[in-house]
Amino acid sequence: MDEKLSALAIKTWLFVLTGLITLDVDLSWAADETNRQIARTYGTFYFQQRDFAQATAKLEEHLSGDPEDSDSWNLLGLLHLANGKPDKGSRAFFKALEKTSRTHAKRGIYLYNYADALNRQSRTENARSVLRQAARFPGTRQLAEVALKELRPGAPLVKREAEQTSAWSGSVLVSSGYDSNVLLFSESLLSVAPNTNTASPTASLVFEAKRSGTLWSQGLWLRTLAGSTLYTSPDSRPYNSAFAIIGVNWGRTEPEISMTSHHFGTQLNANFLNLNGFRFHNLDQSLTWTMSYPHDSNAESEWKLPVSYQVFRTETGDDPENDRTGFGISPSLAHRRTLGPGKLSIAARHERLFAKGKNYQSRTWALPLLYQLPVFTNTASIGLEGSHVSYSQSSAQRNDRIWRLSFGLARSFSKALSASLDYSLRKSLSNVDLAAYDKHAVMMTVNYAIF
Amino acid sequence: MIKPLGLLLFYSLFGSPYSHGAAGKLGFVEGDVRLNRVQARDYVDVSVGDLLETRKGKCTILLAGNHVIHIGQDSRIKLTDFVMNQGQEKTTLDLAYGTTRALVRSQKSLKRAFNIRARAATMGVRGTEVYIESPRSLAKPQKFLTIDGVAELTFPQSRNAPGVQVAPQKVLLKQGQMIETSGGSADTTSSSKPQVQNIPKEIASEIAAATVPQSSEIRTTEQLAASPEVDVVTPAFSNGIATTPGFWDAVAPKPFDPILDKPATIAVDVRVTKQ
Repeated sequence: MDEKLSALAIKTWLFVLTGLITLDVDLSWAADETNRQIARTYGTFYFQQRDFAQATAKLEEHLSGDPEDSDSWNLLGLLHLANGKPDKGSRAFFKALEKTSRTHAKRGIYLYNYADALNRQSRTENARSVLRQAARFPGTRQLAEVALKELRPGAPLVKREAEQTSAWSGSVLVSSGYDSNVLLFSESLLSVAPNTNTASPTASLVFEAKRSGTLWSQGLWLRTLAGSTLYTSPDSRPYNSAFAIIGVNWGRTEPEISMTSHHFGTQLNANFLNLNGFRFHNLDQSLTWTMSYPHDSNAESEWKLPVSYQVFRTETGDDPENDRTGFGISPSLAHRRTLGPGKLSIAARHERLFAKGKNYQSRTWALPLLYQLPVFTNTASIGLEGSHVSYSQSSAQRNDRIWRLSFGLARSFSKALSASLDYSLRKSLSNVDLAAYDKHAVMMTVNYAIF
Repeated sequence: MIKPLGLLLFYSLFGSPYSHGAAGKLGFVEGDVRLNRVQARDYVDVSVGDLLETRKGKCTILLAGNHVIHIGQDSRIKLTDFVMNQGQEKTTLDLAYGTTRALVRSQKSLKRAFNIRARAATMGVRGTEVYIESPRSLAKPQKFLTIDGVAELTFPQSRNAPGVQVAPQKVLLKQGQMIETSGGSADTTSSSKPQVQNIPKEIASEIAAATVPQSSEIRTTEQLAASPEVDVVTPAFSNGIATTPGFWDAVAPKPFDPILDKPATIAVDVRVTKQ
């Protein structure tokens, strides 16, 4: 019965998710787009010959028949600006803005150009207000912020982006808190059978280094991370850990609206535990393909397909059915959108683990949801995730239903310093007693950029 | 009946009003482009019979104030015919090899025949945007793609066997449809009709994008200042509040180990490194 209900819930969720995604997909292809491109090409051609009269005449003739072509209004405005007529230019840019929705991909550009025309007419306060709007769009954010800082009445806007920071960046992260259930449940199934229900104050120290660059005209990101987590309670010390992560991601730097973009990444995680001495515990290597589709500046859908291989330490005498080494696959479909003052993120995820040991061959369905919203100078978040994990090959026919609820509050104090306070509750309901638990954790985290 | 014959005789003797004048202008010349074997420059006239060749270069023909024909790298194209008179227009381009993207203006009041002839087929543009790729090597396949509107592809008649003639085959290519020949020319025998592929919008645009000179469209004042490389029109999903740790993690696939529960602070997803 439970499984039927779970399947129904999953189907309903997928239906809602698919609906949200397809609602946003614009399949239309403007029939007159070719005529628009032709008009703009001629306008540009005559402009390059410094033939302003022909250039504007061509565009005005086109716009009289197709006044909805915002790109041509924008080009006409630019021609007027270049011809020393910012008053006519501002009227054309205003038309371009009139013809676009608030989420239009190029609205930031039109706003920026409109501000330029206004400022050249010494309408500086109007220009400032419009630049602030342009700064809300990712494509023009940096340009607009620099222009705002260096605004001079009557002059063209300063056109340069903010100075790029060094390609390498590094930070240190310190977190401290309390964990009501330092949990390493899986170890209790091993012969050692450690205590699984210990509470302890905990602290973590993590160093992180990142580098961004380009490879074959696409973005390339490298991230390395190393750290340690310590528990102060004597019962929890076996779970003290050290870990290292290295990840590389390659793909489109700035995804374009209504265009799918792809990212390919690989990541290696290694963990060492203090069980029977500080020794290797497990590692996993994953390859991930991510396909994202920004519907507009407020909504995005994303498909992820990670394929992983994990290796766990085994010791002589361990039951081979408890060996968790093996391949895993974990496809997910997510949708993120602006909702009210904040952002909503919903997803569906399926995980399969093909472990060598039958007790760890698992199948997971998870439905995460997250809502984030600004609260004064902070960002608050609330998350909820329900998942069902089935170990159908295990000797106990184990089935877990796991609920996770989390609240967070984050704040940036400066460009280098940020902090967050998080609480999470994890509740596991299982037909195996040892796998049923509650876990509360409160963590305070401070992140400081050191270079 | 007499009037068209009379016009035909008149034009054949004296030529059409446009056939010996300039049919258009050359623009957006980038790199090595030759017009009638001489290095070309912007704004020169293009007339019937003119031959355009590009090596490491691109250019655009602005034809009759209405049409735009982008010519990609390593191409050879000839304006074979251009006639415009009394509400009728006829254009023929011969693409010996290379790539071209033609934007033909749609005007309901005008009767128009706009044809681009390539090795394997002739593409009749009914309106409004097409792309042809005809590699110099005969062994490589040719591509005929309608980006917007409708085009008619005519494959020439061929012989299957001595004395057996197959009539020309016509295929209507609608928006987003492409035919790729199997090297040299398409097999147009009655038993194997050319396969029409449906191409998604973004792929169609990407296929044809390389043909267009970079300076042919301007959106920013920097571009106006002769800086065609600059293009700030790259909107991205707003990450306004996506800076909080955990935002992406919540929907990103978790490590698939359902057992080992680690503090959330060590969860990592390299995508959050994007600024």
